[in-house]
Amino acid sequence: MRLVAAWLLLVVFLQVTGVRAESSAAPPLQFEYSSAATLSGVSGDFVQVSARVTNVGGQALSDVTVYLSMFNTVDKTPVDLEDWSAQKAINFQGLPAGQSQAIDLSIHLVNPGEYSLVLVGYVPSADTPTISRATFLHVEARKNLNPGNILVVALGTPLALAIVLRIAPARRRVAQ
Amino acid sequence: MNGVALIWSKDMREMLFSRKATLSLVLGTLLYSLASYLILTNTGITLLTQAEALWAFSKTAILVGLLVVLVESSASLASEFESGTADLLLVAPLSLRELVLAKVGVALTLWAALYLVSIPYVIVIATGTGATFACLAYSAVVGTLAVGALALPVTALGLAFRSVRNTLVTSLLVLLAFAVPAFFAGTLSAGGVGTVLKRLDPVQNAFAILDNVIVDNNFSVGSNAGDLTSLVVFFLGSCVVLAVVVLHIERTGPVPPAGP
Repeated sequence: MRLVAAWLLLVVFLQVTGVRAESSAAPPLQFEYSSAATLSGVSGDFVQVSARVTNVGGQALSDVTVYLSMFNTVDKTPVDLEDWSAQKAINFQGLPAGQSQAIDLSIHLVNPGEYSLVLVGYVPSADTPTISRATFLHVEARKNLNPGNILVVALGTPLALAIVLRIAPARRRVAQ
Repeated sequence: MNGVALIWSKDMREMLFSRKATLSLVLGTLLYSLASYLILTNTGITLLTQAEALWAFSKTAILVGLLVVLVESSASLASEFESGTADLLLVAPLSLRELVLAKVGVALTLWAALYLVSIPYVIVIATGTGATFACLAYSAVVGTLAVGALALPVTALGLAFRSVRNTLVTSLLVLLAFAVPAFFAGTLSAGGVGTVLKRLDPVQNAFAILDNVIVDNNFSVGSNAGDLTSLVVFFLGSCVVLAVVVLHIERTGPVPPAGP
């Protein structure tokens, strides 16, 4: 009886102090993509990554977060998603057993290069997140010599100014 | 033609029609071209919106104007004293305040010329923002106030120092002191002192007004009243500083140029 009471007290103490027992189990989540495994585009384009996350466990999950993680496969460095995606994480307050939720993320292709992107499923009760298979992004540099039709003004204005400022004094000298 | 107009006309002719001056003006325009090209290239790639691109260009245009006008203000009056031509001018029926007025007029005309040159760029970059006219109107007003707010004290410095080199170095430091916090407003304006400096800085006020107008589409004068008031107060203060220096020198008489 004392042992049971001590165990209960210990459990209450651990709950109150926020100490959790170690758990290495991944959450019972499964990702299934509807978008292609390899996406490509030009800098400035938007591509859509679509998938479904399913609770394949026997119990409902009360708090599920799915977030993006992106990696430059050439530089071997993680990518700061600041400019790449307006929505970096999606939170579901409740995912019943056997149910799934759609995930649609718009990715803004910024820098040219080769990237891999994964979706990470996180629930607070599990220490090991669930990671989806990778989606590969191939981004080509945008080649536009006349962005916003500025080329005529950018070249023409200095040229026109130079001509005006050189011709005006010459005409003045001729007139004199 | 009165003395002010005569000096203004002579200086403008020298500035616009000499080979060196033409080169510097064309180079200034090329800077506009480069800035607009790079900004629009990035607009197609990053999340920079067209309105933010227009704001970035407007800031660049004002900064180029400030730089050119401050260099001109530093050199114009001080060089007359350094080369001894000021003495000749002041012997003629021309008062010191007329000479100063002509030089200030030249500096502001230079700003007006740079502003006019920037108009085609603004029209192209502003496509689709619906803020073309507002951007041009506010840039003209706040640009003139900001340029005047810094150019008038620098003219006073030139009058006091009578040395191009010293005036130029000081004026560039003044420009850096006001422009650097304006470009790093997010990191340097935190805290009480930063907030006070932000309120006083004419460059920051000008940029904040343009941000409010171009990016946030707050076109009314009332919605920009705070920054506009600060800018006007600084400009009037600069007028007072220049007037005090001119009156002081007129009262005490000319002093010999500094240095050997």
